[in-house]
Amino acid sequence: MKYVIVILFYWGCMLFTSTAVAQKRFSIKGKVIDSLSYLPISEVSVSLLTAKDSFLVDYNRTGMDGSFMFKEIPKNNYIILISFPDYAVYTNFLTCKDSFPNIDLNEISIIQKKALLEDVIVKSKISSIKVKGDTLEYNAATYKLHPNATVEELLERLPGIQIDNNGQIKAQGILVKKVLVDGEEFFGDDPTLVTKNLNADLIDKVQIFDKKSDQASFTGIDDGKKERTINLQIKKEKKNGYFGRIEFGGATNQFYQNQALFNLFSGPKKISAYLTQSNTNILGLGYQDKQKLGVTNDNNYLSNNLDKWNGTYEGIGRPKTIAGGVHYDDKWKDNKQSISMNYKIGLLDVLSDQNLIQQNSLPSSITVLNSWSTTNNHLFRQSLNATYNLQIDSFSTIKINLDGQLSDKTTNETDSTFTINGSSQLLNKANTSYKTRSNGKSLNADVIWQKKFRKPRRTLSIDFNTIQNGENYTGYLNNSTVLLIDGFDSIQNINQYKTGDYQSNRINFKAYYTEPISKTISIMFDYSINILNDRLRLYSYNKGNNQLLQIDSVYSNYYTFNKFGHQGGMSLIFNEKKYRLQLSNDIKLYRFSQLNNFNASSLKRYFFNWAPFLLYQYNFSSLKNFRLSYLGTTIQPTIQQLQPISNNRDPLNIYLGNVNLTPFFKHTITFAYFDLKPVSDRTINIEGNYNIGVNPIAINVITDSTGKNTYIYSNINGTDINYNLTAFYEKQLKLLKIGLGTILGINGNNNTIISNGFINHILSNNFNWAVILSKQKTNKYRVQINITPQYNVNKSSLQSGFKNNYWGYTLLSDISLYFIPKVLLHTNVNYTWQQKTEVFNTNLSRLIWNADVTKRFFKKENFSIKLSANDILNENIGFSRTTSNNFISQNSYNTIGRYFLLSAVWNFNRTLKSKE
Amino acid sequence: MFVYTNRRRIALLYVLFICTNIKAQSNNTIMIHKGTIRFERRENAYAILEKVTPPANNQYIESYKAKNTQFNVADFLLSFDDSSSYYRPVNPNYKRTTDLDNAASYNEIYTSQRERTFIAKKNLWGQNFLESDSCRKINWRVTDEIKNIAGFLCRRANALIMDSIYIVAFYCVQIVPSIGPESFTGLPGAILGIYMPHEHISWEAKSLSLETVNISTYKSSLLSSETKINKQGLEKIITSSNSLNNSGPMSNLLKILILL
Repeated sequence: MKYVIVILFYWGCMLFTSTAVAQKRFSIKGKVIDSLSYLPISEVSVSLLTAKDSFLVDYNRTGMDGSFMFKEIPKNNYIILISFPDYAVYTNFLTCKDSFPNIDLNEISIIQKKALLEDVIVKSKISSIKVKGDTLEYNAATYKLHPNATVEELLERLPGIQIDNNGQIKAQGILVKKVLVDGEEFFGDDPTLVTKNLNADLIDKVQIFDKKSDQASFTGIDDGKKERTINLQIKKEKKNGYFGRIEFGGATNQFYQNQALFNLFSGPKKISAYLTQSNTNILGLGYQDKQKLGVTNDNNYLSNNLDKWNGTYEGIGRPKTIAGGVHYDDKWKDNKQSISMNYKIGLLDVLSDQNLIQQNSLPSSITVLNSWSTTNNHLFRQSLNATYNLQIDSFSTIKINLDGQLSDKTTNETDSTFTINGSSQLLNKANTSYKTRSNGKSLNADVIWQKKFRKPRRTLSIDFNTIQNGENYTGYLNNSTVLLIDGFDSIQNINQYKTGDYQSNRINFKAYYTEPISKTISIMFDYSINILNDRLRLYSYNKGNNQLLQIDSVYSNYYTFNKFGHQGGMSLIFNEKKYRLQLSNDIKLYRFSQLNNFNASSLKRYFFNWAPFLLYQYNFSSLKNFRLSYLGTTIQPTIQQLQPISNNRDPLNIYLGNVNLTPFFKHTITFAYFDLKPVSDRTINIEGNYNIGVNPIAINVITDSTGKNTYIYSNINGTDINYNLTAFYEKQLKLLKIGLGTILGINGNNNTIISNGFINHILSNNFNWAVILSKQKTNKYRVQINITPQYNVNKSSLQSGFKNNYWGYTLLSDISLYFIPKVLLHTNVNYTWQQKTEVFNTNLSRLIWNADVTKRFFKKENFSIKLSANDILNENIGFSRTTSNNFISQNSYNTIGRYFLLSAVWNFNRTLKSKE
Repeated sequence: MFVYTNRRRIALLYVLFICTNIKAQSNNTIMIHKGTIRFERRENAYAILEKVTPPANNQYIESYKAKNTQFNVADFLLSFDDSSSYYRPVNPNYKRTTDLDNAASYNEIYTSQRERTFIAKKNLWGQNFLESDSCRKINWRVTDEIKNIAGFLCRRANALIMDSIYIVAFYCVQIVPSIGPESFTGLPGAILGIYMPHEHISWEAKSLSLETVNISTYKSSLLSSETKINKQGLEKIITSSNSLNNSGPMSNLLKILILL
């Protein structure tokens, strides 16, 4: 018996030890194929090396079917090395994981060296994209373009970048706000000036990143503000020389397009100048310039609302521009000092005719507004921007930025409107003629001092900023409004002269201090002061009988507005190897007072706001990361909501103030995920945000029986929600050599307004899904097709039976052919379709077809003649349908239609010998 | 009718052309399975002598330098096929100039790739010994360095053998069998270069001919004659040999060569 126990024990031990000792063995298999023919290759040498010190562990040759297999491989990290004569060597890392004892590498394609040399595209796949920290870097040399191709043509080639017809650039599905040249702003914020005018052969590298605010990039502590930015690095050898282009173009229908651009680069010095004159909206009409006009980060300032025009061309009407600019930047003393200056001058005329049909859904009925208007707007603007950077020593820098602007704007608008109800009864009609002229000037000065200390991560940053704005304006208003009350006409006539001025002084001071607590933890304190003094005068005079002017006290304003606020906060930052966590909280105290000097009534308010912020970022690798952030903000009522300027410009739409408004709190959650695989050219970028305002300030519209709207803001119980999601995916399909991109977009709003005393919940959602296919062959062709179906859902709780859901899609196709030497054939088609709804009884469909031929001449191909046809089918009749709040609108307007343009372009460049 | 056949002939030619073309496309690289490689062994005699000669014997070095060239060069042939290889000196009766020549310098080695064994005829001070053993297991460390030897692109691998001897090998994957000069094998292809930088000896391929030899006859002639010995036997000879019994640098070098 004893023996039996001993034997059993012995066996048990044997079993136990044998299972414990038996190490897991792995097998690795795969198949080697040719990257071009996809045929298996036999007798290829496949070696297995240890990843740590590259000792040869095993080797093998592929069989007739290209397959290979390693058996009984101990657990380790390996490098697989595949080599075959005349083929590029393939290596890859391989990790044995217990869950996969039989590793199958599937097909491994190896590239013939010959193919590698012949086809630059294949080579570029390997080396064209790099990731440096948060920056994605493209090597421009790997994209072969025709001589004198523009930067825009280069950007179009880069994977992950789309450019629309207006020159707007999207990188990984996100709109690019800035294009820099060698890190400097080049003619301000207008990306098209750079992309359409600079030549691609100047560019060495294209870098894409999210530019953070000055503070955030210095302290390394995120403030959540960022803009997607492209930086173009100029080739070293091009940094000494001059180059430019001159273009003249004449077209049918009195269209023209002329431009000249000159650049002189000399070492670190860059001088550029441009002049454009056109009425085709191709050149010199920056879509982003308007952001510089006003200071948009603080909505609590006065605004005269005298005219509606914001000074830009947005596709409505016919524009005419003359624009010019000069840029200068230089660095000296080992780049310790640098200066950058931009001066721009521009003239813009827009003539438009519009017809607007707008349905307003009321609790019990609907009204429909019909309006015809013509405008003749004119703007002359000059701006000067200068930035000076001084690096005092290796620890501190000073940056001084000055922005000045002068503008002269005249608007001339006439419109006639009538409103009917659901049973087609006339409610009101009006005729208005309105002329304004305003002269504005503004100056923005900014001084930032940043200091680092000997202790790493201890920093101090002080920012002093002052903004001075001034404006004088005059206007003439002629209006006659007929309101039909119970079948009786009530006629109201306005004949007024308006004049006034606006002065604004603002001072902002900000200080940041960061202190390291441990190797991975830092703390930041911030404090800021905001002081604002505004004065606004707007006097209205009735033109009486004898042309005597009598002041209209109801519509005359003389306000002084003072605001004082200060804000303090603290952030805690954990910066670990793989992740980063930031917790912040800011407290703001505001006091503001507005005095109405006309009736000596004053309004004083105090606000207490707080803003918690949380950011979590996890870096899987330098090519893959995830970000999640939360921001809470207190939204205080604006002065326009509390005590607006009284204005009778539009007697059918009257705004009233509500001094009892209280602030509300808004939560914002944003997330982003980015994953790039450069070798297989695969990019995933997902970004989204969700905003919810609790008990928000809502607009309250009171529409009376005559169709006249009165607006007043009030706090309501409920929520305002809006959200959006952009998911971008791009991959090169190796089999067909097609680039496949897809962008899924979701935008939604769920907010509340009050309509004639009834709460109206409005839901609108837009789902769109773009599929982009592109195929290109160097010196042969490039084809891109973009199909975007979309579905819109609009619901209003007051009119729940009323459906306004519709499908739509756009098809964009862009084809360039390079088959014929020195000739570029290019065409694009833009088809839009929108489904009919209950309000609009026809489908909207529009096909815009553009085409152009460019023939380049001479050995350097520096002279070219281009024949282009814009909107060949003449279908670009301005037309749009929109939905907002209770309103569903359809707008038709005149715009740039069909024309045929013949232009001559001369490119010149000369490289000068460097001085050194 | 004639026209028709002619057309058919053209069509046939065309098909043939396409077929051969495809074959060439998928496999236009010739992979080598058999042939003979000519190696050149170079010994830097001056450097060796300076290393191995005791300082007292400087006149010997001077007198050697006066009479002899710096490099001792000897050619070897390595014939191979998929299963075996045979390594031998081109001229077995080289004149022997240094002591090194007495210690297994003109070996003939038969290696079986399949069985991973070898039979080596080594001449030690005039006496032939037949050593037969399994192939040496060398722990190769593969690198990125590429070098062209005799027209073949070779990849460098490094290793330590006999615990302390640093060797550098260059192998090419185009020659499929895992062969090499002397008893150096174990890389994914033929070794076309071996360098022992500290010993100042190298083997480098000079040419390749695709002509084949009957390796098995060489093997049988090798097996027929000589005195058989194994590694332990060789070590015994070394330890008992008078000329090797001192532990100076020269005897170390001789030991290495004998045991290679």
